[in-house]
Amino acid sequence: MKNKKILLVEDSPDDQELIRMAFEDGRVANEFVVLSDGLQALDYLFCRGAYVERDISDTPLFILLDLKLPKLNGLEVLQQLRANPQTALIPIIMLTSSNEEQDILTSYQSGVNSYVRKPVDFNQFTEAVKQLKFYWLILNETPPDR
Amino acid sequence: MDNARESISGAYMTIEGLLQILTQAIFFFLAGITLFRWWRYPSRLHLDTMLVFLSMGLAFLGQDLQALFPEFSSIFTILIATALIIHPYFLLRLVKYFHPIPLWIQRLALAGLIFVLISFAFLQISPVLPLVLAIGYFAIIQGYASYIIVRGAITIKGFLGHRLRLASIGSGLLALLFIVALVLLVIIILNPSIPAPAWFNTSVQPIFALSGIGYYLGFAPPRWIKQNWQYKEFYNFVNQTARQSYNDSRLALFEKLATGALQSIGGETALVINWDGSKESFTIEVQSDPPLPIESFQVPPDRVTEIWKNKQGYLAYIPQDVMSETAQWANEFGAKTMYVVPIIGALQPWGRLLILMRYEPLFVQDDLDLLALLVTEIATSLDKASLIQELQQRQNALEVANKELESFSYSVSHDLRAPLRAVNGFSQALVSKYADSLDEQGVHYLNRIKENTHQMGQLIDDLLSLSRISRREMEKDNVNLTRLAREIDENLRAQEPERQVLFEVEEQVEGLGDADLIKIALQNLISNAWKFTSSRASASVQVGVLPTQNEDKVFFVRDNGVGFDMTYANKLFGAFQRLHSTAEFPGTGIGLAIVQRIIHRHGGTVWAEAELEKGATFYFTLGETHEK
Repeated sequence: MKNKKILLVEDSPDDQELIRMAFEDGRVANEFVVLSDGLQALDYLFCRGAYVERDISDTPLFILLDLKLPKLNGLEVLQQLRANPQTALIPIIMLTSSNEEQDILTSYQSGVNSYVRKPVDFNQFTEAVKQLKFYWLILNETPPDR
Repeated sequence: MDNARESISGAYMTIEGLLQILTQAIFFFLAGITLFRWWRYPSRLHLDTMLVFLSMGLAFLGQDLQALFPEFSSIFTILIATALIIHPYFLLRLVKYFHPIPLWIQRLALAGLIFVLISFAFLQISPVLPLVLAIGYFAIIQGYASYIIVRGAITIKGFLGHRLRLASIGSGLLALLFIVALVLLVIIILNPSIPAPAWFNTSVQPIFALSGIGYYLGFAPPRWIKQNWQYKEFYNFVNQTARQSYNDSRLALFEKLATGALQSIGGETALVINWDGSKESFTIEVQSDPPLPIESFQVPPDRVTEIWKNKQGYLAYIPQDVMSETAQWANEFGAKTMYVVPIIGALQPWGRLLILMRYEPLFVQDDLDLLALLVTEIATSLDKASLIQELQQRQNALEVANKELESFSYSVSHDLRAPLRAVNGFSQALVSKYADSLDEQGVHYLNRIKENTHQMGQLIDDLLSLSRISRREMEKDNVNLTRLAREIDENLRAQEPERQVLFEVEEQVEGLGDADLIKIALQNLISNAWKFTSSRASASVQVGVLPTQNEDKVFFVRDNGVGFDMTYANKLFGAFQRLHSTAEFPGTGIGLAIVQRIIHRHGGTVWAEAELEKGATFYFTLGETHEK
């Protein structure tokens, strides 16, 4: 489990770096794979397009998925992943600036495992990451590999 | 007719005498009025109408003259006889205005008339034959004309129908009288020993009187009867055509007008036309069945055309002589006259209603009066329909604009946060990872940067909640403001247990509105009251309703806090407007903007009264009276 990757789908380079930083501060050693749009994320996970050579059994530990993404947005990616049995069980944490009820509701209806609002304050974000780590890396049993 | 002598010589008090006076008065009146009309507006129609009643009038006049000047009795007898004999021929000429009479019948009637008049020359030789001929001629022609009138009375709808029903009584009774006279005469000639029956002599006068009344009501009805007919026609029109006109399109309403107008006043074809300036011609918008085989038509420029084009046009009847110059196109379809009626609403002129007629209409003024009513009704419906359509368009545009604004504020709130997060995050990284290379002042600056990102994050959150208030669906119900205020007060007490605030809320304060939204408004107002009384040793907050009658309830939240200068009252409800420094009282200045938006969404108003250091009172209404 330790060598499993964390997939971050986030288009803003600033946020990519800040999230990495927060995970480093939270002492998470897993490798980060960073993708910057929804289509790339699906290509990566379904091993197609630029990722056709990738080993499909190498599923990420979890996916941090931004809601607002170029090409395909986070909700569309989420729905496609949940529709496919190969990816249906990968834990997905929705990351967003939004606190809109509608967004939260739709995310949960589409089968998101958790929902984290990116706070303005970096310290709060570090706290949120620590809780995520606690929850996902220690407590939560990830589904068995096939 | 011997009665005339008696009546003139003073036997007025018999019923017969009275009837005779009445009959004469009616026929003289009709002769006078139709003579006047013909003299004032000379036309073939008015001439023909006048001749019908003048002949009857002359017959009665001759009777009176005979009584006054018995020495010229025989001359007046000829006058009476001629006037009476000629009457049915004139009636026939009148009938052709609503029912085509074949030319040969007209000629035959004229020939018969001349023959009968010639036969009078032989009166001295054989008195019986000319008399039989005369009465027979009268009975046949009058009977034929009456038959057509009665048929018209039954078949013709609308205004003309009402008039014909009464006129048919007039002409029908006369015809009946003369047919009976003919039969009696033949019986008496065949068997001279049988005397003329008494009932015939006694019924002559009442029948004349009734016939006169029928003619009078049909041809010169008093105003109240006319208005009654007009009302009936209008009622039918509104019933059949203008119902549910809100959803009708312009063309559907035009169609209703065209068919309705034809039903009410008759005519061949009804068109609604509009002037097309680019083609210099009239285009036909709709037309009644059967349609003319044209889509547009040209009209030579003249005075009538100007009336047509004129936006403030008048109702016009275009008689035959003018028509033949103006609308050759209509002549081609057999139309000889027409009505032109502008359809003008409060908003704009909608078009012109044309009614083409094969014959000169009998009663132009009736038709124009009725058309004016029908057209006004349709114009009002057209106005209504277009206003409703415009209203819907505006509402749609508003909804679209609102949606755009929403998505704008939504994405602004999202996208504004991202750079803020970067500024805060990297400042934090500098503070935590490069603290060694920064002096105290450097760390201070970085912290100032971070504080400001916090502040801006708060502002963005406030903007979001303001836009959320505007987007929420509202569900109106009875809301117990007393209960809401108590809940809010309890929460505030729990948050700030060290504060001593006297909270007074009136019992059973109720309003109509969205409970959640009203709670948010009250929450903001009451927590403001708490905030601005924080410097008071004995703080007090009151919630209640002003004693008003027949108007919207005025609710209030009052405090004895620091108040504010009324000079700035107009800035109070603007988003991010603050009358106090953040150091004195914290907050972004969104609270009252939210309160105002909630109250406005309810259709109410909100305002405040205050004095520096003496407290403030916020009043609001919920626009409840508009709901009823």
